[in-house]
Amino acid sequence: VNGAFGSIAIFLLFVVVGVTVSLLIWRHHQRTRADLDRLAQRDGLTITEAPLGFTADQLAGRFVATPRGDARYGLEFAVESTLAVSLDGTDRDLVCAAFRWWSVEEQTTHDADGETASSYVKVDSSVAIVRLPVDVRDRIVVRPESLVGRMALSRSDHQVESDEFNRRFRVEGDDRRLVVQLLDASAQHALLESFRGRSIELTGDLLVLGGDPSGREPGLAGFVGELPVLRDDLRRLLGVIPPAFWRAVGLADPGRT
Amino acid sequence: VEALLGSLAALVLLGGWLVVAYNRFVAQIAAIDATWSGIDVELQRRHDLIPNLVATVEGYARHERHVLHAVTEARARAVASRPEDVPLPEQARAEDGLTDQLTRLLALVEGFPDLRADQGFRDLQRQLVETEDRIAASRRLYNLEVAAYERRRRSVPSNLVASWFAFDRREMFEIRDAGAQHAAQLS
Repeated sequence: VNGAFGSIAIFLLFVVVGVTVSLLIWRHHQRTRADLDRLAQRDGLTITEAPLGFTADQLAGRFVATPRGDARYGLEFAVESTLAVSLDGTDRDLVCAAFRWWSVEEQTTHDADGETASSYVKVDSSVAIVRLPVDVRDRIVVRPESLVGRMALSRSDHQVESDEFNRRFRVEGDDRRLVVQLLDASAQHALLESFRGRSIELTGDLLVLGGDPSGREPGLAGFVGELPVLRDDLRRLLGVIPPAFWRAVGLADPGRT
Repeated sequence: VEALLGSLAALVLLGGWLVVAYNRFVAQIAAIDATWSGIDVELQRRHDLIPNLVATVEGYARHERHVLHAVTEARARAVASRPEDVPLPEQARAEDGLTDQLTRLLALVEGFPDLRADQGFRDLQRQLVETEDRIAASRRLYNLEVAAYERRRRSVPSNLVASWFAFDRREMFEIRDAGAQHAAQLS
């Protein structure tokens, strides 16, 4: 009888813990949703399922910041708005979006007997995208350098003048001259100062910023607190891009875009 | 026999390393030459743009002959400094001299609203700045290649290969960023 009673007690304990955890998650989700609505109203943001017209399926694998994972992925808390910025001395309103991207990564391990085991990890990151008023033509990616690259064991990417920058970032792009026009001395410095550990991708008329934002707004629950900071980061990143880069891609010359 | 095999293996390894090190130097020299040709093409383009620019300004500001003459002279000096046997610092000085004169010319244009509104002049000015931007970027690429080459040329043990096969010192090309200077004066 004691054994049966013990089993029932353990079962009830599991049920209580399960219900409590589910309730807490549900409440957190509700609060996050409410904060998202509040933020959208306050900052004039539009809540959307397809940021800049891209669905989750279209985003998956398209950018460094939106990996496909093991084919399980999705986006949450996507908002859209206009961003007032100054590019090459001209004030412009650009359409931008921010959201949280998640994907499930498969990790395979091998034990001493040669047996393989798979485990699955849910990875999520913050993403901000802005539609530029010009087509960049080339694809340029600046992302955190791998451990091998950081130890200077591999240097297959584009190198710039700053050794510290070369250690921290991996730079890819077909047009090497355009890459150095993007990464002048002040851009190298600014990226090292404020965008370490984040990915920056220029492709077509889009600029995509991935990775954890520089902070979060207190008083807003969960990821929603990161949204205002993401927009500020995007604005600062656009300010870092040198005028020579904008001239090279024909920003001031509508006939070329 | 083992000692002989060991020595043979060491010789093969040394020979392999020599070949790899030599070929890397050759590839670096080729990359330096390729990036230099990128600068050379853009410098030529800048020199080619200037006669048209001077002629256009002359149409509006004929009495500013001394400024126009100074630009033409500076261009002639820059063109004369382009042959391969002219040392790089001398070429750089000539190009910087041309940049100075172009800056004077573009400053002069500020006082001629009709000229500033001339579409032909605006196109030429924009082409000039874009060409100068490309010169600045090509110069950085060239200097990056030279820096990587010089680092290897001075490092142990690749400095041995450099001295055995006479891989000579390459100089950086240092000129001012004329594009950044002239972009502020874009009409």
